[in-house]
Amino acid sequence: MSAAGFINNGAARPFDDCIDVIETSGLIYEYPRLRALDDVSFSVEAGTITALVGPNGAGKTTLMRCLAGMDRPLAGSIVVNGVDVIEEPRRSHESIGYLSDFFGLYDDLTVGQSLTYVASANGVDPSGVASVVNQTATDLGLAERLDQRAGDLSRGLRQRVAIAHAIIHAPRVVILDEPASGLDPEARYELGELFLNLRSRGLTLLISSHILSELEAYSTHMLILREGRLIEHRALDTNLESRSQMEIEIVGEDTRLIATLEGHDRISALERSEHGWRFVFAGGASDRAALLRTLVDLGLEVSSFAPVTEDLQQSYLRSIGRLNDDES
Amino acid sequence: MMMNPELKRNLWLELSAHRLILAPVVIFAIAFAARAMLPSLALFGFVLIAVFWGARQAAAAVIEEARERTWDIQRMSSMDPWAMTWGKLLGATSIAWYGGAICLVIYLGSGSGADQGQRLMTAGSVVFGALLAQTAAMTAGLVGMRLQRRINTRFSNTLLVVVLLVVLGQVLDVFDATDGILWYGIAADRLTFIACSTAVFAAWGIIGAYRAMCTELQVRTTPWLWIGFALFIGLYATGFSTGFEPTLTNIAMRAASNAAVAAIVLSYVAAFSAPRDPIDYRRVLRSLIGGRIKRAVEEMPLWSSSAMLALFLGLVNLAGGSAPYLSNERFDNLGSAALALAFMMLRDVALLTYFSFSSPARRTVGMTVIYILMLDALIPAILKLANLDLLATVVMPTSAMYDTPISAVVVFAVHLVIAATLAVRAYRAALPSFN
Repeated sequence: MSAAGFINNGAARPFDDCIDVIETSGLIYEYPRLRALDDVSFSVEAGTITALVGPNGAGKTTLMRCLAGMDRPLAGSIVVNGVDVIEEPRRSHESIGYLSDFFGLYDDLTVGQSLTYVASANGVDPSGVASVVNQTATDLGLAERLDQRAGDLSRGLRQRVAIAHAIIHAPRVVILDEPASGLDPEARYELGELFLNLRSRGLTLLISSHILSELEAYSTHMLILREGRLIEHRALDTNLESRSQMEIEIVGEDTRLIATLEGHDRISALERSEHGWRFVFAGGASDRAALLRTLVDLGLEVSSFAPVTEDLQQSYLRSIGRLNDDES
Repeated sequence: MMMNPELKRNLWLELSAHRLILAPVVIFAIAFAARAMLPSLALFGFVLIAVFWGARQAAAAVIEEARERTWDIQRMSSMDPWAMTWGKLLGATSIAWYGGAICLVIYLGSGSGADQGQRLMTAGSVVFGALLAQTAAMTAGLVGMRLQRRINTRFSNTLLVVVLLVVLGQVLDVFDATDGILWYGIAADRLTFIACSTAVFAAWGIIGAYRAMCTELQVRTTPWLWIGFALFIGLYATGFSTGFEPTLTNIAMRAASNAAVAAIVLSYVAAFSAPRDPIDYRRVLRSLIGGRIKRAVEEMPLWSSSAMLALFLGLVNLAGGSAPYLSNERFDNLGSAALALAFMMLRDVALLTYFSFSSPARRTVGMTVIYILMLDALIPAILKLANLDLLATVVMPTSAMYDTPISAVVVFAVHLVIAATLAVRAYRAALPSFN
């Protein structure tokens, strides 16, 4: 492992585009009378932030603990940064940082001692420990707290110390289980900013949370688990301009609207929405303008014609809803 | 050179300036006030501080991590199990060793110089004894953590003190005795023998703590050291056996008998102290079916390796035709009864497994012990009172073990088949339905 972490040398680690830094295949984890993970396979690209979502008992924490080499699955493989986590859990920890949902701190140590210990225990070169500790503390807004006992810190600051533990050795992958739990809105916002900052430095993050609106602020991908099975894993489109789903509303009902939309060669997936019609539009701005002109020329009273902005919550519920439809 | 991080962390916590100053002041003050009781008081002080308190500190070094939810930090580190073991062992007990060392200095410095050699040997014994107690306590802490039980600190501390006081009484008696020890026909000075023995057992203690740490840190190990420990106990105990002609064959048979007892006892200890998860058994089966023999050996429950050794040694005893001999004092030779006892142990482990798989949340150990007591003591006693001796023998063939060992083996084998059938059914029921 590198003696000095990326935080220490301050240089941004280049993104390894299209390199999968996490690869799992056929993952099965069982408890007595319960299969917690059922044939879970996925890959995570380097430099992404993946939101791991799913209902309670979906297997999120179990998956995270397996990825971090804390629990051993019954079957399947996990490779993180090229290291087989199941075969070499200790070595894999050099490139993984993990924060449990119920973490503890060494309350009788100062923040500085605590960070020094974790850095040393994770193989940071002794000559670089002090600078790594200082840099990490600065990055996490803990520089003024280095001499304070961890036990005297507020909930938000304790969370920061715990995250500092997870990233101090400059891992490639950081796995955070419900990191915003119990934080006030301001602390949550700052946490989101921190995650974006870590991503900009080349880290890959896998974060679970029940608060989807928070995950939306920084996630690039979404991975949905339900009843131990992988339901969906996809990139989240964060660029509003490129969203292809549109919604149109007109005053009253007119069959010419449906006829026009159904006959349009750039429209697909037409469906009724709460106030109008929703569809996927495969065209640019001029195509959208042409469609609007056509409808107006037909004499339709168009009251709204806008791209649909689907947030993470809606996206998640849509995926779950689709699954329910399939099952029924 | 980098200092062991775990040692350093513990030293930060344990060796404060206040403690470093206070400990010698208090110990020297007590020694001065009670100087008439020296050097025995100093030795007692060492045992109290380094053995009692040191053992408590060593156990707390792992139990506290689980309680404070910091254990994940350590499990996520890239420290290897050996560095973690000795860092904790030495660091968490550092203040106990510090206080103990002051006591030893007083012990060695007081009294006349004539018995200095004896004192040095005694000091060596108690130092290794402290190390043994601390490693045993740490191993127990690691095992307890795996069981995920809430550990009642006050109860366990009280129990520890009571047990150690009893042990202390025995130890002091041993030190007070002046006669020599005969081991494999070699006459040894008692103190020298005790010092050497505690040193060897302390080494085993360190190995035990290390292996328990390996398990916690997900580092796979093979069970050969566990089997080696059972064989070592057999050989060590055989050195004390008397009343037989010391030919190589006789010694080997006695060693096989003693090692069988050790393997049976160790199997019970391992089975009752380890978590009993049907998924672990499934993992072993998958490895076996997949032809991954080494992986299966690494993953199989520890009790099974010593149980296999017990069965093998039981067969050796049976084949050797050695006659069991039981005196009022001790087993001098288990002989062919070893195989019957090995089957009895397997039956008990199968019962434990059945109860564990059937109702994992219940107090399965207590329930199993009750059933074993009923099978081995209560029901045979009732049957004998009712003059149903034959039936009593079928339930618990005590006398048959010595008179007709084969019939005892058959009886316990039938017990085993019944218990194993129950265990297998419970295992199947405990697996997730969609397998």
